[in-house]
Amino acid sequence: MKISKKDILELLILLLLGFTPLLWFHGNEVILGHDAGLPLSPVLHFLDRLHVWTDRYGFGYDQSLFLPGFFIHGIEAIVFFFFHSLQMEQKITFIFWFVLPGITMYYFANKIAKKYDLQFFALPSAIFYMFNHFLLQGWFIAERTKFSLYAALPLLLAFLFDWQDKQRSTSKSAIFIAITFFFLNGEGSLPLFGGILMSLFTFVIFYFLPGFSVKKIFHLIGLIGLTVIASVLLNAYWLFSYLHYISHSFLSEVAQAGGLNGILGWLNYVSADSSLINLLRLQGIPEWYQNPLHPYANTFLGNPILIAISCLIPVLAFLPLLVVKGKVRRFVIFFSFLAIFSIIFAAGSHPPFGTFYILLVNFLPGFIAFRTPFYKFSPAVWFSYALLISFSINYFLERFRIQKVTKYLLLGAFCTGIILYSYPLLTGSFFNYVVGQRSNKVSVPSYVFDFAKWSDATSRSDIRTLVLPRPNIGNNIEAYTWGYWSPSPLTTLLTNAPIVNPTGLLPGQEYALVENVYDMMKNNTPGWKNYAKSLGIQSFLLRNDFAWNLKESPTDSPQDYTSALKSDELTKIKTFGEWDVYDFKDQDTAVRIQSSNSLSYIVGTPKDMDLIAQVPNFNGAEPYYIAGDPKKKNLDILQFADSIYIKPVCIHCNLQNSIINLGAYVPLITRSSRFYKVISKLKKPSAVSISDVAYDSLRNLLEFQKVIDEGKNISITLPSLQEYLVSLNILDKALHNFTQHISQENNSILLDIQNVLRNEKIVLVQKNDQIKDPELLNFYVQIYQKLGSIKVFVDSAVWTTSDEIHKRFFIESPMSESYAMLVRPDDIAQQGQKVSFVLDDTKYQVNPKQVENNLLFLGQYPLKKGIHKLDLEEPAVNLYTGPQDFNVSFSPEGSCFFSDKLTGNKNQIVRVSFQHKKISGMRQFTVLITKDNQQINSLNIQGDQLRSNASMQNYLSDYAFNEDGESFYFAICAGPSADTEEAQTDLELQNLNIRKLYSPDILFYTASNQNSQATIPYIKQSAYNYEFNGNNANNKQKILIFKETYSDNWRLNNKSSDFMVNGFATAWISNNGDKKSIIIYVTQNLVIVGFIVTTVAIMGSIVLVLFLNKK
Amino acid sequence: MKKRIVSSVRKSYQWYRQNLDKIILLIAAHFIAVYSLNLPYINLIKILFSFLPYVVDWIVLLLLFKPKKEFILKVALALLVFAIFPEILSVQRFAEFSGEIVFVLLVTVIFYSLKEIK
Repeated sequence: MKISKKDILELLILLLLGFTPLLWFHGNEVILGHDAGLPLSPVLHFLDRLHVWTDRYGFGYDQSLFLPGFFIHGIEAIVFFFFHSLQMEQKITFIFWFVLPGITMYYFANKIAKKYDLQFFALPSAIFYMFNHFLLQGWFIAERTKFSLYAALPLLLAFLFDWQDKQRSTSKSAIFIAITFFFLNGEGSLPLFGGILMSLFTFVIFYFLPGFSVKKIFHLIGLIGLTVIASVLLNAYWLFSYLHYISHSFLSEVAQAGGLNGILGWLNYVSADSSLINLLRLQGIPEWYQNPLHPYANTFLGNPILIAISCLIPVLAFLPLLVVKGKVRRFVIFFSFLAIFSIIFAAGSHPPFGTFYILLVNFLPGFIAFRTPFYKFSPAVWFSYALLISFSINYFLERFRIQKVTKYLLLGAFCTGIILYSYPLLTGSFFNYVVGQRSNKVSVPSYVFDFAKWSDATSRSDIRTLVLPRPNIGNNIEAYTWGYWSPSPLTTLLTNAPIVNPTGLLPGQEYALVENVYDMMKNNTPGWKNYAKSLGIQSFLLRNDFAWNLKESPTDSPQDYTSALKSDELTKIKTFGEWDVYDFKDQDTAVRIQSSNSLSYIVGTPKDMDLIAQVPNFNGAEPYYIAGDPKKKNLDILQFADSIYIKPVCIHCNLQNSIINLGAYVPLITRSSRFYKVISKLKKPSAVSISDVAYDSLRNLLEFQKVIDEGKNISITLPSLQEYLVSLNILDKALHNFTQHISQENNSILLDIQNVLRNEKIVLVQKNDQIKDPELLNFYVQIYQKLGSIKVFVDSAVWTTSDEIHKRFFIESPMSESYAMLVRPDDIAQQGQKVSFVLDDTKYQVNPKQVENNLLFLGQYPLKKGIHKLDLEEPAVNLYTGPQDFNVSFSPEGSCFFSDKLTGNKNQIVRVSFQHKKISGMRQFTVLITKDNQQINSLNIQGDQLRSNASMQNYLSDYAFNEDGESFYFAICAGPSADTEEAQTDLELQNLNIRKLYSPDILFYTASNQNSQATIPYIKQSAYNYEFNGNNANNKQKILIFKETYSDNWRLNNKSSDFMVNGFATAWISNNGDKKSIIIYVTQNLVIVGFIVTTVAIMGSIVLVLFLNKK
Repeated sequence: MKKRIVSSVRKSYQWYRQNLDKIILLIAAHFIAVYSLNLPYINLIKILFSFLPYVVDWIVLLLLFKPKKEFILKVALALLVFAIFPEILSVQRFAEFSGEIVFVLLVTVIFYSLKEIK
């Protein structure tokens, strides 16, 4: 393709427009925050991304998925390397990403323009492709991954059309396409390829439209095959480790996104405004409608002129179908088809095609990845529109019989209009994504960079540091008073030092371990230092500039940790402006690798470690194995246990029954249907487990309920009821066999069955009124009695807490030992009192001995290996300390009665009970539990309705609340009176009682302290490679602990890891003596091989292209 | 003016008389489609794709009246221009409805245009 003067001029215009990002920066502002992921230290960030293992996240993290960002972060690193200015780096890279889609689109559009002699086509296409609302929304977080594929799309189609028109050979086309996606790979994110896939499907359809032949199929397969081969070879540097990771972690990634249900919920949320009319008008961008403080959406949604323009956009886009004739029309039809086809997918779950999309998510393997359809598929819509609108512009300008200069002036006006329609791009206002509250343009304080420089120094690069305060538990938002706001921790963008941040990337177990440290530090609980050390935490970064009291992400104040940080074992070693760094005084820099001749065996969960760490002789240096954590088969870990900690499991202590979705068990077809016989024959013959038997009985009862509700006669209702009785008889028999061997697992099944039977009883009671036929009623009574007898049997067999005082536990003893028993009563007032309990049918009443931190020692008890039962008596304490009997008056304007502030615990349930009687007035009342007694008023009350009258009534209700463990108030409110005559309303309350439904802390343990641990000096070659000499001269079997996140890919001298210790770390049983040893993350080998393959493939591609050109 | 109105009404009447059999067929097809899609168990499909009866209507209409694709496209573009008003007045239901009609019309035009690809 020859380059004309016009081409050069138009390219210069595009390059000039490419400098638009320069308008966005003022002062020393840089773009940072939200999902931008723009690093503050681009070079270090890039170098870290060359390794599959990084210390930047949690206790180490496999970042195989980040490797494809090689070019995106490589460009940033190179620019920063030369300019040493973050703002300059961002300006230059932003110009690059801004102009790139324009250039690639110009290349494609200019080809069409030259082939069909379209004078005014290429420039508006390119400008529209650069300046539009899709990119505008992407620019607020500078989504370089999105931009890269967006820029690749025109090139892909250019190469495909050239290939179809036989302008380029199959092999050369394949190499060109592969090279395009080698550089512009969207960071390997499959969902971002949505627009590319739409274009490919459309191309294939149009390829076969003129005629279908075997030759054409082979031709296409040849192109696809060669492209895939070339792409695999060129992208080998990330593809091998990426596929390795995906093959191991796809399901966990889906689970992390909330499972299928979570994804469908999200899908509905983001598709709420993606209606066809919005998409046709190039609107429907989710943020426009979800964010009331969006910087420019309200203008576009409310301004009549802009609305009119938006409606005229599709008119301009589809007008070419009417007016453009000749050979170029095939492109008009192609892009119209592509636009319409992509809109169906971009609409996601929005009607009318939403069901189709949901079916794809549910049933098409891998499609679940496209969980944000608008952003994934709409690039193809904008791409098509850019070209279609340019067809219209070209048509009008060529049709007008006016001077050429005037035509160019009109073209200029059109192009200016396109730019002005995306006017926020000219001001940079789109970075202020919540107007007046949040912006991605921030001025980073210099002390942040000072900290980065210091923490990246060799002396600190291996010291694991915990950030304080923690981010909000629910959303993990990091926000600073100077403007940074993001779910991505700032330190991960700042430094490669091992800084622990609780983020969504942390596995649930590790998140729980870190939360324990925060909870313990906040309360300055004894043992917190020991516990922190067990996690390899050596240092703390207190950020006094953390915006901890934001409404959407409240968390602990930095001051909450002051008392813990004042500990004698800690020292403040450095201050960087608002950031203070505290280290343990007994700093051993080599805690990453340790050896131990023993471990603690924990029967419990990571969450229980906060209690276990408080036991006086808990040794933080000794590794602990949590039963159930990953371990290699046939490995007897108990042989290394010198101490055992058992946290008994309280069964049903909160007295809350799980909710059964009865609707899901109502059969679609009942015996009143003509299809019933067919369906019954197709039905699976028998239930597999006893749970199935129980749920079968529920299904039968719900079928009976359905036929009763449908008003069917006795010829249908009676057989239905008979079938239910049959299923009850089967259940009864099965239960007698099942209860002969009760284990913890069986008990859980029985609890579930108990709940099913409870629900069945409720259904039977509710339907009683509808049974009129005497024969049916008689049978109904028999069934009710049968159900009652089964229920009594299950109630007697199941081990569960059934009242507020007697808490029932299972104790799983891994070996026969004499265990010390500790208990921490919920109320300090109970500490002087005797403790009564029944352990394996033996009653005890013990005078406890105070140990530490409210823990009471109840003596030594021998427990054989196996399951034991404990019934602990703990009187419920009334949290409400005011008078229990009193009258409350409510004013005519409406008012509330508030209790004093009551102390709460995290995730607790409280039970409220009282008797009540209305003394005067007409109004009704609302009962509520609230965290705030200030913002509640009588008009915005949301709570439980209290219908009082002149006689005394009982009230009892449970409240689940308080995710963050704040204090709370009990309140009764009455709204304003509609009756002007009513002076006031009076309510009498008696026996007001508010108590917690909770699981008391109990611990059984045996600790011998016959252990020895040693840290092993090592050389950290890189984040994935450690070298050391074994500290095991006598060749005795020892546990080697490597305090990086557990993975099968960690190898000690080529031996894969043996088990997980400390809830996160990797461990081996080793008898390597003093030999030199290496711990290596083997996936890195795939990366090294991949880089070699890629290098060879690049050279091969160049040679091949040169050879093919010559030929 | 009066004459024009009378002439227009007469023309419309004539058109309806001439196409009465087609209109009856269309209405019959609509009822058959609605009835069929409301039958037990088949109605599950209709619950999922509520627009199906109208798709049937549209196909029957296309088969019976054979409108030109240029005409369909002009109607679609005119509807898009008309959609400015419900959008400005924030009558979202109406705007969405016109968007769905426009979409069906565009799909039809593109479908008819595919024959031109050689």
